[in-house]
Amino acid sequence: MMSTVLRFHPDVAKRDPRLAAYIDRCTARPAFQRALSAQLGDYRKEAA
Amino acid sequence: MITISAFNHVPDFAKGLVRDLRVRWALEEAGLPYEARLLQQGDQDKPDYRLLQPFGQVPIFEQDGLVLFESGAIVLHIAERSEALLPKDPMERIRATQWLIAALNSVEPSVVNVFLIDFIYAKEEWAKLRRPSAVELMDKKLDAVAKRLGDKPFLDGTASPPAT
Repeated sequence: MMSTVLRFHPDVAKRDPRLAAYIDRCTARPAFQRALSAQLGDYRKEAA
Repeated sequence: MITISAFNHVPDFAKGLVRDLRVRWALEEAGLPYEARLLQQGDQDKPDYRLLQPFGQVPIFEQDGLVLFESGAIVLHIAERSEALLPKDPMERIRATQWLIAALNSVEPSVVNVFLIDFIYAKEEWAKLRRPSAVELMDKKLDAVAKRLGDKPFLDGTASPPAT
């Protein structure tokens, strides 16, 4: 949950390399990538 | 079948940030299939949706007559039913859950505040005046998270994101 909160502002990752690495570690998970693709896909579906 | 609600369109700055994402992520980590019930802008304020979601937000979670709102509660509900997300031991569970609540209660407001200042109200005079102290508060929270994280891969050793 914390990583989804930290993603709200791009400056968060710039504040501390540990936070940047943590966000990367979480968002690199295949389950996260599938979730993100599904959300963005639902926006694209409507635009098409 | 599990259904979650989401918008069918949002402004570019909100893409990848709307809170159905964390629920989709939890469902993916748990290996649970789901369908999205897509809302058009305005649907969230219609009485039939407000009956399910008092604040007119996304997501809601629906399964076998159970309807839940609040992404934190929904992620917790999913995590409690998946050992991939939360361990069985009650002590380990509550330690992970405290980080879930900390994310939503102690950290999210300060980060979202700076997000609003920079991406929604950037041109407003008050936003320029408010920004330095809002950033200062956010940075205090971020430094605390970074310190606790240290060189650990995740905030809690036994639970898997997004449960923690």
